[in-house]
Amino acid sequence: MNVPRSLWVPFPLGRPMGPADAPEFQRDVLRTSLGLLNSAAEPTVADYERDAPPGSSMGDPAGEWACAVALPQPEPTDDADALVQGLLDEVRALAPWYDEGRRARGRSSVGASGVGADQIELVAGQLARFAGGAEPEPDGDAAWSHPAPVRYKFMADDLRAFYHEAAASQPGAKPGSDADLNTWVFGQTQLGEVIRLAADRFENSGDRRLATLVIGLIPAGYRSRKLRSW
Amino acid sequence: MVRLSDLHPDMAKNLLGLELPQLEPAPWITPPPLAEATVAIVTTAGLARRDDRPFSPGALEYRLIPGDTDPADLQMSHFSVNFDRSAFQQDYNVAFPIDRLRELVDAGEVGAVAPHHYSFMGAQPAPERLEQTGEEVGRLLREAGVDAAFLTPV
Repeated sequence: MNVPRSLWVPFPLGRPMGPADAPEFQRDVLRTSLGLLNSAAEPTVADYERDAPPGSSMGDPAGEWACAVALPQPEPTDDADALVQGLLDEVRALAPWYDEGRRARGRSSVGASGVGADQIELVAGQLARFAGGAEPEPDGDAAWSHPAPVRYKFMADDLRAFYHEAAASQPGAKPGSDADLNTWVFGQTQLGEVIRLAADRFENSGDRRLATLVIGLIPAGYRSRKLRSW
Repeated sequence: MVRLSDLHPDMAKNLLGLELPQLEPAPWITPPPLAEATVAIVTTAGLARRDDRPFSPGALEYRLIPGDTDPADLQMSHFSVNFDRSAFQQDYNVAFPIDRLRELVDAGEVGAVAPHHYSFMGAQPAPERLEQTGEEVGRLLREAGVDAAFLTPV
């Protein structure tokens, strides 16, 4: 982009305004940026010099954060039925905290696949069957937002959002950082393994277009199975 | 933009390998005082209203976000997973600061909120392909009396 005035902020990618749920801080970022409209006399890149407020976990490396809901230990398998069951067990264990998060925030980011969180078990079942190499089950004409196989990318996004929102609503000192959440999902959950198996299918398809979908499935640095805790 | 040293090493390596475009100096326009200016938000967070069409990977078109949209109805269909998605999940204002903009208008610091905002798909492999729709949005903003666009890159 070629913009006449810009404010350089040191926040992690995905957070142009900085910390979540910090209205005063976000207002200051916006005010400082818009202030360049009247203060800058020539094309300008200004530095934003304020640090994020204390207690904000954004950008922190993976640390001691842990999901308070004890999920079943994943079983190493690539059998579709076992993957479906393992994933449904996790989704059901997290559902009360997902629901609480949606109630408390009055919204949810789940839904990119086209079906809402009320059908998250359908999403889980379809993605796990794909990951296990099985044909999808009948979906009752669900209103998917994208055709297969792109649909599986958005299913993975929805399931990760479901897990993240469930984790964020649990009581605790502070929310997990992006690295905490990725380390959890891709190191300790059946979901992480289901997404890796889906990525394997894309990569092994021999179709270059499908192989490029892998970068939309798993964040950089979390593809390796060496990250698993089991 | 985050510091490279704060990124996962794999991600930092990816970014360092990108070719930087050569940019001409941006046109310079002196806007009215901020307290009299109408401001729109233009984002590349891949946001669309839930009843609108979601973005497909690499989409070049935009989605319109009317000023009276309930932000809770915004759905992210961004292709990239290489950014902190927990942020938007917790608080849409980190990428689409509509509440903050309305607060500055209420406080008299900004003149008005634009009647429409615009959303694009980020993570474009060839950003220059957005030129046509980008210029179109610029014309539409000007016709709507918008004095400044606040860009939130995601």
